[in-house]
Amino acid sequence: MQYILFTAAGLKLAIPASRVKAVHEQLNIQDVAGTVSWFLGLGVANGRILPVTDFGAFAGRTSCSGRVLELAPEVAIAALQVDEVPGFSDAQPVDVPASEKPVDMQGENLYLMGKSLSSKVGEHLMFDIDALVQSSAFNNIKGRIS
Amino acid sequence: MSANRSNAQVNRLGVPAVLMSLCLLALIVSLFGLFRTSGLTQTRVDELQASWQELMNDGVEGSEIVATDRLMQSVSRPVPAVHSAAQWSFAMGALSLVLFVWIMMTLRSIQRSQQSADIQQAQNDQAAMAKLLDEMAPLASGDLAVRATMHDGASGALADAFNHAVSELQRLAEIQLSTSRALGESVNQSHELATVIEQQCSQQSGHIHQSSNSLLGMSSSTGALSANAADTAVAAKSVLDKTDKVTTDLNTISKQLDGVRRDTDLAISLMHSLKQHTHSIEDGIALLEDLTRRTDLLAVNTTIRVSSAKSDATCGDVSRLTDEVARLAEALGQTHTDITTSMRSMSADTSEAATCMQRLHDSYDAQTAKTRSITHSLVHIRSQSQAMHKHSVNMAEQAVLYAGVVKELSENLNLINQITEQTGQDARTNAQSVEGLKKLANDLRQSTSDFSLPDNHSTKPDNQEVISISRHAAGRAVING
Repeated sequence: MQYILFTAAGLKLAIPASRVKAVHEQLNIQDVAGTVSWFLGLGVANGRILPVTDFGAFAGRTSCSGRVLELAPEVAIAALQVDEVPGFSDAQPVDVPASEKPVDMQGENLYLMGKSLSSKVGEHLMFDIDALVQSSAFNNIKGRIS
Repeated sequence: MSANRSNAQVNRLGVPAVLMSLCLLALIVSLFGLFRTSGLTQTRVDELQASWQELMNDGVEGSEIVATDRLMQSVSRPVPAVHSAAQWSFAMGALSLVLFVWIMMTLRSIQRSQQSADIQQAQNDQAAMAKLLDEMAPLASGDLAVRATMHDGASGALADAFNHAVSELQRLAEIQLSTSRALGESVNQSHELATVIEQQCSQQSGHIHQSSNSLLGMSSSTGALSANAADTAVAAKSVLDKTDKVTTDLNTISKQLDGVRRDTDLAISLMHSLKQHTHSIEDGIALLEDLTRRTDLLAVNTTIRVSSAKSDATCGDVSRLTDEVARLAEALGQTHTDITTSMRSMSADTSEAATCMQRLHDSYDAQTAKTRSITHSLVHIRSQSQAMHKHSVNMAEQAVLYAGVVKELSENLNLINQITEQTGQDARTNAQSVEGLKKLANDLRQSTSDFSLPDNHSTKPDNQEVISISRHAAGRAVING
């Protein structure tokens, strides 16, 4: 099983490659009024409308400005804007001891799985993308109209 | 006394002389009356002769006879004045003769009394002369206090003259004595002065000798100065030649710098062109980066697609394609990285080279400015060197002239030294001569000591008084003489 590696707001994360449909770059995103700040708007990818979320802002960290991960349809009709997608890894995730939890892993809405995998570009933490898309915080994009 | 006697003689001759004068006057008057009467008679005879002549020529008329008769009567009339005048004249002549005899007798008497008076006067004069000689005798022994006491007659005049002469002699003796004393003092002073002059001449000779030596030293220094000035002139000429050579070299360097500047400008323009080419390359690199990103994105999406479609039959081919795309993306990324690195290095080198070229350009400008400044300074140095060369030559010539003048001064000082030495010798000779003069003054004082001068306080009058007395006596002597 392959895992796609990405970085967002200083976090090195990994999710199964099967949970991603495509990776986009320079996606044209239109703002949607009345939504929260981490919701970037709606983009069009391959003829379909795609809601795009700033993963770093959603996690309560800095905003991301890199590539956009379009999630597989069976996961959700959604996309996450991250910083970099350095590649893939075929390594198997291993549990991370609680004592070795990185200090900089602080944030909100971080659905980490407590595992990590090693690659040539470094250690990446496994992220539970399904828990993210099913969370109420991710689905509630209604914000105050400024 | 003589005057009284003369007056008495005149009085004795006065009466007969006056009487004789009156007689002579009366005689002259009577003779004049005779002459006048004779003239009148002659006139009347002439008139009668004329009338008689007219009668003889023209005939006789009554009136003419009457007139002739009247004339004949007048002629025949006696003239009483003639007789009287003749008597008077005879009487006056006799009286004059008597008076003449009287005068002659009076004169004879006067002459006899005069002779007796002269004899008496001679006797008196002889006595006075004897007394005068007695009074003048002490003068022979050098007594200048002697005075003649005679006051009357020739002996008085002679005494006055003697007194005047003695006073003058006394005055001369005193003057001689004071002159001998003053001469002695002057001789002493002259001797001292001659000694001082001799010493000063000796010192002056020493000073002149030192000055001459100093002048000789100055002459040698002036010669050295002339030599230094000549060396300076040669050095200035050398500096002038070297300045010309350096100016020529600077002009060559300036031309070479101009060539370097042109090359630098060309290099800078080439660097700018290289920068522009670098920008073009950077555009290509950006395009390559975009391609790399797209290829990487393609590889990622392909990989995702392969991962999500494991069950398809074409999975193996797609997987190989995905691997190829991934290797291509990786090679592109590596190439992009290498090109970017090389490009950055080249860009940095180009920028550094451009900066260096610009610095070289700026340095050239600074060097050009310095070269111009140096050229300007060299022109100034050249003009100063020319002036220094001219001044050095002039100084050398002047130093030669000064050396000649100093030499002439040294010769003049030698001449002055000789004159000073001669003056010192003359001063010594003068001192010796002064010694003779001193001896002469002593002799003069010794000869004056033979005179016996009156005491200044008792008998000797003041010099001014003596002079006035002697003058008075001389005046009296002249008057009486």
